[in-house]
Amino acid sequence: MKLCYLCLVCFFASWVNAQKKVSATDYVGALKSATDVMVSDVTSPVAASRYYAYINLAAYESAALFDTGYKSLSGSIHKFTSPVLDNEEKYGAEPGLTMILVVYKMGQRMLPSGFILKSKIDSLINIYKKSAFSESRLIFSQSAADKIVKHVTAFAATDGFRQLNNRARYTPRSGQAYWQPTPPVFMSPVEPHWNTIRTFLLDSAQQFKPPVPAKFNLSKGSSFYKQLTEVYNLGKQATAEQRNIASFWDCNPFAVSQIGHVEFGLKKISPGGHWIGITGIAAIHAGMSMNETALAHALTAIALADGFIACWDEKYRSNRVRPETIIQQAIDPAWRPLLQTPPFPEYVSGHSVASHTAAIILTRIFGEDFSFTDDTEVEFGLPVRIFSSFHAAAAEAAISRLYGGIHFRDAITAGEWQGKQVGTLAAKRFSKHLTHFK
Amino acid sequence: MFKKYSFACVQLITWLFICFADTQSAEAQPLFRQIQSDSTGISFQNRIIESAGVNIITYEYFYNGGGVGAGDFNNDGLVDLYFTGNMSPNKLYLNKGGFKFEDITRTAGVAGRVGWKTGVSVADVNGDGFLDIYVCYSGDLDSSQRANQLFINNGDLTFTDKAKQMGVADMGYSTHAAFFDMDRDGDLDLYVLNHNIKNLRNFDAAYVKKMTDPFAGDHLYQNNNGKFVNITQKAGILSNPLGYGLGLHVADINNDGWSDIYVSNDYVEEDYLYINNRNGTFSEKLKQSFGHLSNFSMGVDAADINNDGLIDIYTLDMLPEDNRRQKLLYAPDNYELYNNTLKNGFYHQLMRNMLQLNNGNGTFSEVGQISGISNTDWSWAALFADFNHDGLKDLFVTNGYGRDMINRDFMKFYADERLKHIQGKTDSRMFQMLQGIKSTPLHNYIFQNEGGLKFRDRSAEWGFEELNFSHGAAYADLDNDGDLDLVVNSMNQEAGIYSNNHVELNGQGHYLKLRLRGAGKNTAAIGAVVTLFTEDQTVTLQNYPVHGFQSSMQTPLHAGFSAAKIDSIAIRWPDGNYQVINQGIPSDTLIAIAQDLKINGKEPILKRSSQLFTKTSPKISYQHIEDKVNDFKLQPLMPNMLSFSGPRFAAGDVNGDKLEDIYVCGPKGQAGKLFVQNRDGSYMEKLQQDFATDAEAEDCDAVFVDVDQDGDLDLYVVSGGYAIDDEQMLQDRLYLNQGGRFIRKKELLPIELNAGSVVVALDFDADGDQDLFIGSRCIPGSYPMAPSSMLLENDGKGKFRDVTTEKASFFSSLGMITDAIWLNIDQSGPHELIITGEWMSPRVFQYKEGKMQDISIRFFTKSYTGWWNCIKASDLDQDGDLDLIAGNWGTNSPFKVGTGNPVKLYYGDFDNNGFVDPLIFHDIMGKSYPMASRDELTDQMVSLRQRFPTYDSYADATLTDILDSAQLQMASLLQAEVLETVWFENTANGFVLHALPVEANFSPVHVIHVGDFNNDGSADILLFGNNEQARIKIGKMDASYGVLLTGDNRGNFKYLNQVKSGLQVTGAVRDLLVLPGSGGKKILMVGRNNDDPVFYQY
Repeated sequence: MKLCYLCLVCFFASWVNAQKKVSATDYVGALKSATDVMVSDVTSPVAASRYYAYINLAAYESAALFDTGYKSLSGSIHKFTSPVLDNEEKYGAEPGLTMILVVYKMGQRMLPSGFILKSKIDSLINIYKKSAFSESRLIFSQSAADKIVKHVTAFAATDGFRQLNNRARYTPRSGQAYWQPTPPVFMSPVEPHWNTIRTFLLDSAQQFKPPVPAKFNLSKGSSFYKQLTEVYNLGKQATAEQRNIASFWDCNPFAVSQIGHVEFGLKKISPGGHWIGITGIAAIHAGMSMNETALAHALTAIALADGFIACWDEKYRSNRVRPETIIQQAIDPAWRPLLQTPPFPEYVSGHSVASHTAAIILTRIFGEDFSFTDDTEVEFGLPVRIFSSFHAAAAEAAISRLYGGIHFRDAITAGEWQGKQVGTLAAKRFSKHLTHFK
Repeated sequence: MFKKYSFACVQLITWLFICFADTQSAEAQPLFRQIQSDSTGISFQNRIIESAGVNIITYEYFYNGGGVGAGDFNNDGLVDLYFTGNMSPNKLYLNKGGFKFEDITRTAGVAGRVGWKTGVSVADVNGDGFLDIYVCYSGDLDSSQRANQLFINNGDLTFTDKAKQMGVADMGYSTHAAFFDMDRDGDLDLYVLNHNIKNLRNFDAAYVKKMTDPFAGDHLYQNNNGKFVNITQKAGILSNPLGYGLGLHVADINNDGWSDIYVSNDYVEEDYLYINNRNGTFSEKLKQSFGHLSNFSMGVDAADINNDGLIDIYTLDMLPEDNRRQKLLYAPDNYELYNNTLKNGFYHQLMRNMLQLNNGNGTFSEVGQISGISNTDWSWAALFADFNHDGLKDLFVTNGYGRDMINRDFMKFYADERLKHIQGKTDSRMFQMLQGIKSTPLHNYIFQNEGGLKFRDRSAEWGFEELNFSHGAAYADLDNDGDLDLVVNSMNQEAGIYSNNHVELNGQGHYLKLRLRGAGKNTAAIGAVVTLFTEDQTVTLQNYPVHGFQSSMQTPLHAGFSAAKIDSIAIRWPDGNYQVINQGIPSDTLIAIAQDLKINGKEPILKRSSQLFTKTSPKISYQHIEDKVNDFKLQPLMPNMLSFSGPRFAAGDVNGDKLEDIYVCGPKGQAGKLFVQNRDGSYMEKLQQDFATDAEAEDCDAVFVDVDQDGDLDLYVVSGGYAIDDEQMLQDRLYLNQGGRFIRKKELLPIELNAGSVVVALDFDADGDQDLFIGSRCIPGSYPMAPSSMLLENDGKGKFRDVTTEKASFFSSLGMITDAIWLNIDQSGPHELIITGEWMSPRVFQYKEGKMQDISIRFFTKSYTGWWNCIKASDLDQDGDLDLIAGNWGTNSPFKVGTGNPVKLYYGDFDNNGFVDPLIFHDIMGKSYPMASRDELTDQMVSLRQRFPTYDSYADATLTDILDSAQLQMASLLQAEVLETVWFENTANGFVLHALPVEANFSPVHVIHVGDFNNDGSADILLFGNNEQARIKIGKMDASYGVLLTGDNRGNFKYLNQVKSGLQVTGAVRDLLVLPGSGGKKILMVGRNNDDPVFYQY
């Protein structure tokens, strides 16, 4: 299955002319535009998960406003109230157009380079203007979208994100056991205060505290040292397939390449972005309606966002050193991981958390043995991979971090545990909404 | 009246005339005129052709360009020219006179091989009286293709490559090489400068630094009767793989008669300063000599730029002059990276040109910014020479880089976008991506040395406006008209030949060219030092041919001078023999001097005046230990950290034995300490339980004062600090002296949580007891907001009441106070309180009619806002009233205020998130721009990411682009109009500002001490300071080693150099005490932050 997001505009043109309903493909395409902006902006994994959560929440709320078969998420999410529309908007707006506008406009409002999406909005509106749509329907759709966006961004504005830059920047702790900035550019660690962001579903960022990691101990035979050696040896002897797996799930938004004075970043989607991509693939594959697609995305994205909050809470609690740093100090100063070490503490593995959280929600939506072809990374020069289920994909994503030389095994195991906890809780909170997919 | 008027008129006319004449001559005829190839016959071009296989990614020194060799190869008195081409054949041009040249490359046989050619060194290597040519090779090629060549001159303008048989076919990745006599055995030895072609960075450094690399490391060869032997290891020359050598200069840097070596290294590896041990080995002494250095050091030159006889060193880097390129190319401050680099054993390195002024005592003061030559963009060759015959060496700098590889937008956006769109194999994709990187040609810089360490940019007036990519360069008098012409090797452009028209235009001043002939095999007397004495100048030249970048000029020495006559010439020959000529010295011509071995002179040992200060053993054992916080983690946009403020001292006789005792303020985590003086002048620490209890407080100042009028001295300590964990630790403390025990009395002080900086004991209400003024510094975490300063009134029994509101209400908003003094300015009537602070003008208060009155306007008729650190009063001109000396930030920094654009600080909670955003704007080339890079600004104000999505969109942003009108309306503004350390003369019309010698402004001044140190009956000034905690882009400020300014009682001050003063204080000085010494001497105790105090006897 190969998607072509690029000709979205043409797609809409044909759709309008054919008076076809907005489908999963259109939704996924619009969301991909926001993803592209995030990739270009070099959005961190945590920030990306937050943007995805609010964008998809707003889109789904739009569905719930027009289709009484769908209920607002206001009851499930902390402090969230559903947006309200005038009757004129409610009955005058075109639901499909409104939802796509909401996706674009949420991106436009929230993303640093959201202005890029303006051209998407303009061309979408132009197509409608040229079509048989009445002027008023267009106007009501726009004002409805604006209202929903305003409501959800106001909600987002109170989640603590704006206060993050007032907090002290991270100072690495001294001691070999603790995280130190990593090559090549020794970036400051990403979002050390992310656990102050309001959760959507979790009681608190600490609700699912992972077990304490293996005690830092460089004597041979210790659990830590064994894990250290495992990463070190894998780095030297990983099989081609293990390397492929590591690269496929790299999901590093900004791997910096340095050649002399030439320095540039190679960009990819974040782990959360990858699972949003999988959600889209599945929705299209399953032939979902627009509203179902929005719901599937909202539930997955929101669960992912909480997964990252929980994970980041642990990262800056344990502050564990990355394999690259400690292997170079303790075993081999010339050792390099296969993947570039991301700029934040090691424990627990974020990809392990995110993948298992998403897999639980997606399995509830699409079923246990939902096989799919994952082509999310094709645009970044990687091949497709075929998975028999979401859980299989999640397990591979988790272990890929070991093959990539950026995590120890216990950070993966504990990450998987935490991800499953968050996913299970999210599924419980969303149980009403999940009935749509029965 | 009439007379006065006419005088003014004449003045005006003269002035007009001068102006007119000046602009006339400048417009009509620049100092230099480029002569084109159709006239000169020099059509050489360093042609660089990029391809998928050979480009900046396959070889990172692809855009470094070629060199120039200048020398008279046929001894006809005309300087011939040799050019190296990286990919194109080298060329030799024979000088036919009158700027006409003939290409004789083919017949001479010196085109070189196919390969990657770099530097050229011209010298008479075999001592036969004919100049030879050494050519360096590098590139990502087989080692055999990298063998350097030595073209030995056959005496008939043909050459034979004898590199192999003479042992100098070095196969390293060579940048350049220099011939010199390292061991004074009369023949020329060789230093070969190499670089690595692999990418190693600081994260590799710790272990790579210990390795050796046969091709990347530098090599030293000793000449044994014409055969060169590699003695690199034996001689102590480093040869690790991190050597990215780009610049090489040999000179007698410590003035001991033996040749030393300076090597500039790109990237993380420090430069090397090899001091000749006079036994065939060298010692690398960079860290002992310099406080900081260029990060990506490129070309280097060394010369005596201030005519003090000492060789100063200038290294080039990549910092652009203009704001736009700074914003586009300069990476944001990364403290993790900087600290990681230091932790790995590397040194303080910053991206800008550094001028290391030789203090003559093994230390150097880096003054590139005060001299105005720190920012010349991506620069290659630096050449110091006197182009206008005023006796001061001017400066020529070449620059330009093939592509803007470090453009931030390229790094963050374009590279990724392009790579995703380009299909194909990695090599060709990378190559195609490269094509997308902008290419920005630049003009070369030429600076006129105006004396007083100031260089003025004359690029436009002197004829260097053309934009290009220039690398190696040489100066030489090509047409024998007496002035130095310039030759430049440029990329993809014909070599530039610039005729100097100074003599032709009847310019002022005189010159003398000297052709030295050495005894023995060193025929050109490489290593000789020549000093010319005129009535008003002493011009020193060292005879080393390698200068600038990949270039060498084996040409007559060239001296300019302003007087008509040279009184004498002193020559120190390479073997150490000393010769003085004081008769029949002509001017404005060329003279030849051959070493006469019959003259076996010894250099006269100058009677060294004894040093005023001599270092002496510690009087107290103390180590100041800062808790190393990083204030920028709290507020990334501050200019300096405020946490590193101590140690301050207080002195007083605490036990009534008539001997002064000392309290040393403790930083956070370290208790303050009391040292009691013994009869024999030694000190003993006396432990105090209550001091230990308060160890977590950061002591910012202290004073011994008898608050309870019981006849002994009590102690008041000001608590402060910026990075505070516990607000309660800001409470000041009063310790009552109870028979030698200091007991803290909380009940005697009002409760306050102001972060203070200074305490002054004063009886403001003249009721006989001691009251207190406490100045406040900053609200922790909320720079530049300041808490209230305080006036505390003593009830006579030592209990203090805060009377700020009722008696000095405006003290609540004085600003960020740094210092205060209580004095009687006019020596009559009531006392005054003078305060200084950051972003403030000094202010004066007097207590009158029951209230403190602000009487600043009476004394300061103008605003003198600055970053004042300290203030002292003294009668400097002996007129009976007190003058002021005020310590400021200095002018050796990126902040310039001279052009009428003060440094401005707009602050407010602009993004409405409850925290103050301090935005600093400062002058760059006449316009005010934000200090913060795009990433730094958007990190502080996230909302601005939408306004400035790219670096380009921010590159020209000024105040109104960053803040909208609503934000500007709510903004508060602070300014700094004066950054100089100055003295204020007390006159009938108030205080009048007077400048101090330039050395006073080398570094921030934090301590001022006045006394008669040279015993001539007049007041001298001692200044100490430095700042090691500024933001990375400002860098470590360490150019002051203690500055002594001697006075004449009339308000004139002269800098006494470090050799004579004897001062050699490194580090950040924060206070000073005078202790009694033995035999009527005194001892200075100089307190240094995060270090032990140093002691000087005088």
